[in-house]
Amino acid sequence: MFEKIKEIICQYVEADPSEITPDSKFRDDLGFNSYDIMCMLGDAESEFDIEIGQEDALKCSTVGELADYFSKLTQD
Amino acid sequence: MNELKTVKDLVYRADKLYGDGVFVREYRNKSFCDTSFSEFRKMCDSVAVWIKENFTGNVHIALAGSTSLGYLVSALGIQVSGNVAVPIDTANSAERIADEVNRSDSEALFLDGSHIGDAEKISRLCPNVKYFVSISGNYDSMLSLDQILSQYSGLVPETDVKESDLSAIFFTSGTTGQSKGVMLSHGNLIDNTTCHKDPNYVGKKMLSVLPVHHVYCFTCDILCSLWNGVTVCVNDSLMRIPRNLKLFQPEFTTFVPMIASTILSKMEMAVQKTGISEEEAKKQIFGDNFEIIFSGGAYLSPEVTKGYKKFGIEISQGYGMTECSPRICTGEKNCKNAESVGKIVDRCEVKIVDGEIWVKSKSVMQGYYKNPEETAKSLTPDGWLMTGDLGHMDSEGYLYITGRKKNLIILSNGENVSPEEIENKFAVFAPVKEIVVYADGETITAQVYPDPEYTSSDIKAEINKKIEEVNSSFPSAKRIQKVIFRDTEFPKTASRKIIRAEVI
Repeated sequence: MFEKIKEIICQYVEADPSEITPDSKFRDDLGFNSYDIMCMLGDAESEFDIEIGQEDALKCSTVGELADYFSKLTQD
Repeated sequence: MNELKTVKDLVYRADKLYGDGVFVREYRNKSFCDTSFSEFRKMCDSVAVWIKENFTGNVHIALAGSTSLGYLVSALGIQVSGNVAVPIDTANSAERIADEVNRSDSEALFLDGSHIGDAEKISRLCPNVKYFVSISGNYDSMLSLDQILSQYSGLVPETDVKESDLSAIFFTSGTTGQSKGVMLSHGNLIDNTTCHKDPNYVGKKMLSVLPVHHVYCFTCDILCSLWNGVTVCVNDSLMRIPRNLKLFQPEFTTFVPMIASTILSKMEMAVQKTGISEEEAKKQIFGDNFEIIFSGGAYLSPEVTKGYKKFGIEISQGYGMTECSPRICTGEKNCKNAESVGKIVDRCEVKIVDGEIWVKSKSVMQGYYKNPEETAKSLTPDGWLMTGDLGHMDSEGYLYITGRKKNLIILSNGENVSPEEIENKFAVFAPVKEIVVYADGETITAQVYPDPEYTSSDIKAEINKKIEEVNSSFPSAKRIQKVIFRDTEFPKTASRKIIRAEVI
């Protein structure tokens, strides 16, 4: 899950995949703007075939938090 | 029916001309749900009959929701009935929704699923609201649109709607003070819908991504699609734009510049990282049919326009304001001048008074609802709308915006300097995250918030170099003479606009 999220992240921002950790913050560490985040969530929905609650997903500020949130959805 | 004067005429004309063609396409439960122009007209009629049966006289009805078939049927049904639709910002709190419902004298409120939980609170705050209607889904305690549509199915309202009748009240936020309700008549909306001769769009698809409570979306996406026989594909969430572009394969869309920039970076990144061609990247993101993006709502950097050109996509800028229903200029295919905000639309007179753009046309609002003081500040007695924007036009009818009148710097030597004209030069300069230009006495000063994400050995030196470069492109009166670096963002409004008054 974490690896796939990293792949999606790299479609939006100039980031070295080896430097993305579960603690990386979308805005502060990876340079996402508010709309980049939205678009990335949409891609993740298609990739993992899940339905994301926009408000819940936007509460996740780090890559690790988002991976946990997606994991819960895929288990459901 | 020979003449097109009201929104009702528009809905009926679309039924007659485009009948079984698809007007609204949604993607629900992994399949397309289509509604034809004819079905849409019938649904609007049902809502109109319900209104006629349950209210006497002219009534204002508010709506809080995002674009969906149900929302559009409700809004246009209200207008077909000859009454007034009041679209309210969905991002508002329950208190703010209630405030705008009360200030617009609305007597009913249509709510979509995301606001159902607020209904009880709004109901306590809005004693004059007789009905709450759920746009999506059925709830025990509330009337639903589904019930109205099934109960009044096949009925046709008896209405006499006039061109001069009030059709909608749209709230404008502005950067200061309370929101104002812009009153638009049927004549205003129809004039703006038909103010530009579009190419033959019949049967083409557009992806509607902007909030429908803004008149930009309401007129350009919805009413223009009824006029031109276009299918409106509903983008159900901002986060699903890339998915929906692929899914619906539209020919065109309307964006605001921020969305356009993000999607452009995504395409550039795809080319850079995977080595695919520009044409392939365009296909991957926009699908097989895509032709043109119409942009409005904020400043579009010519760099973004150039960026899209590399991918064979045209992005065309327009200009307008809620008070003008909204189009004053519209982008067009093969627009010759990327620096302009487009060509002035048909039947619209524009003149420049002391540098400010004034507009007169049938699209200009009736005034602000119950606010004669503000109306008098925006409309002259002979009907000119003072836009508050500064600019100029060329002999071919292209308009150029240089800034906002209220931000204009007037130096003691009489020189006028528009801060936006200078600030826009930094729009795509990565080291500068935010910049505000103003006069400190007689000194043109720039406060700069450098981008904390930007990696550089000396970011301030890079910024200073850019300032020198920008300065050399301006006459001496417009040059930045003093630079102040700050390490925090500028104070902003709820809609993320910088509050200049707190900076200067």
